[in-house]
Amino acid sequence: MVTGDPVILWPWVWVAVGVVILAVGAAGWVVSGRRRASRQEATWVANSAYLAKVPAFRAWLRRYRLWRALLAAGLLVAVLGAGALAARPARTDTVVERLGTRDIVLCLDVSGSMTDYDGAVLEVFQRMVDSFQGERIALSVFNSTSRTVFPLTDDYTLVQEELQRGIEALESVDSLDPEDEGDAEDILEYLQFTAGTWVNQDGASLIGDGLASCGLLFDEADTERSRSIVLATDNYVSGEPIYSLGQAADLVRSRDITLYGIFGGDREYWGGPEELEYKGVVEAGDGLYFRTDDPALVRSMVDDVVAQQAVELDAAPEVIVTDLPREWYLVIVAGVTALVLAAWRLRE
Amino acid sequence: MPDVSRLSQVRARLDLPVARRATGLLEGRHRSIYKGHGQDFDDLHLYSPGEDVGDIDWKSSARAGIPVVRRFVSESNLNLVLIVDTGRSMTATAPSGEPKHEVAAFCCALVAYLARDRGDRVALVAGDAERLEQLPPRASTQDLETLLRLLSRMWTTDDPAAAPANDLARLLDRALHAFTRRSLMVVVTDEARPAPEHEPLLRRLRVRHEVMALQVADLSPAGTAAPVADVDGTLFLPPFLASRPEIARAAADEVARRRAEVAATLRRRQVESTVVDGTDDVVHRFVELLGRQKRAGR
Repeated sequence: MVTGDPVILWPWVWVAVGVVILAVGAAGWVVSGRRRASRQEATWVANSAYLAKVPAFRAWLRRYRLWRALLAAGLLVAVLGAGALAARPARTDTVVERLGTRDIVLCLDVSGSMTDYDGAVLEVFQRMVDSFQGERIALSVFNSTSRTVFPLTDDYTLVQEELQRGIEALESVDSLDPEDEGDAEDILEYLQFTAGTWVNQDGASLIGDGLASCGLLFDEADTERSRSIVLATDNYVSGEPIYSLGQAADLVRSRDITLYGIFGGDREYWGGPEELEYKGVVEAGDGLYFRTDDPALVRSMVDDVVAQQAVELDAAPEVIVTDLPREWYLVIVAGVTALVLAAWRLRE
Repeated sequence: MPDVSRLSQVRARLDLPVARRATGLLEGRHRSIYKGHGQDFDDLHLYSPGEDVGDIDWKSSARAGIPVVRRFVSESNLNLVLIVDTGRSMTATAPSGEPKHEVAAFCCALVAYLARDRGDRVALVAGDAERLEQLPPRASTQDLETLLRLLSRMWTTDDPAAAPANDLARLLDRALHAFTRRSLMVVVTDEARPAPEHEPLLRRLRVRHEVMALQVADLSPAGTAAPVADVDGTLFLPPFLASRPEIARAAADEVARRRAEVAATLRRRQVESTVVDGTDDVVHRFVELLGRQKRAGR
């Protein structure tokens, strides 16, 4: 976003208001002067020249002129302010609407082997959310079943809180000792975060089911939005899933969702059938595929994903005009106050 | 109004004792004109209520044991000259709310009425910077009516601000040269006149004639709620200032000071004067003035 300086959008209106008010004022003055000249009901007096020499009269005359001056000044300020306000004091900001129509679902495999990578992905997204403007993000965790931590939302406060909770829960799972009383709280945290992901006791790491669930999290199917799923898994399935990975990927693709894959397995599994299947599925959908044994690299991967989308979604820059009436409004208020005060005193 | 006799209007306003008193005072006034000219009294008669106490001859009263009044030969061949200012300022308003010229016209009518009662002759010098009317001394009711009507015509105006300016000096000068016979000059003007610049003329007039001044007061512009305008166009008085009591008070002080100044000038020239506020005020003030002048004359 490029922030512009406050400017007057229509300076000619300012001039026009000034000219019109001056013209109306002059016309009124002429008309009232003519009426005054033709007025006959005034009481005629004579020999009143002495009045100008009376000190009390002169003192009051000075006061009168002062109030008149205030009246004129108030009028001038009010007209100036009104003209300025009519001329629209505003700030123009140029906004490139890049990310506003993007929906991202984080689809995390929270089976034991993936916790390190999941934490890293969450941390990256937590940092990214700070710069989000209008993007919606959802988080779904799965093991044998899926749990939606939060659905697609742009409530970034909630998102940050939930991401933080996820990071803390997944942080040091591997070092936790169920026998250690001191770890009880951390274990509870982990269990709470992953609650609902092992409802189906017949299996674990049902990747296809998890991905299909994530694919169902997108709403507003009618609108033109960029939809993507960032899937983090090691594709190590144990049990009978309803959807195989390939079926789930087809479902996702049929809904115009781009799938990005992060392979979180150890180096020893690289090149194995699980990985090959995973990679094949992701690349078949034109998604980016990453693999790493270093959680620190996850960050650059996610950045790549986001950058890729940003290029795709670059829209025409939008100019946002924000009216800034407050200062001029205060000027008007000050002018009118002086005007009313002076008029009231003069009429008294 | 032109159909109604101005003299009868005066009579309507003048209750009889006051009228008699006023006539008597005017008589005394004339006597003072001829004081030292060998004018002698006609007879003595018993004082009756209503007559001027000042006319009681105390020596004779002491001798007789009852109040005795000296009566003088009625002098019917006296001149009374009305010097009437018809200038712009007379079209303004008097404190009573009437136009000042109405008050002045009533002053003239009163003087004419009293003079007619005595059979005196009344002359007129009236005018301003642009006009000058002069009528010779006449005594008939008809002539007096003509005189008053002429005055009334001169004062009729649509736009007070367009009326001719005042020029009292011209009137005084004309009166000085037009009337050689010793007369009673009654100057009818407003409270700002005679001004100090008229003093030399007044002095010369006073050498030859008896002079008295009837001044119509001005309405003070300060302290009135209604819009006011000066006939000279000099007044700047927005409502903000017009309604200030402090200004009205200070203005009243200034007016009093100015009146005192004019009165002092007149007294210095031995011209008795009075300021009238409205037509209701005229008779009272005039009688008071005559009384004052009579005492001053003795």
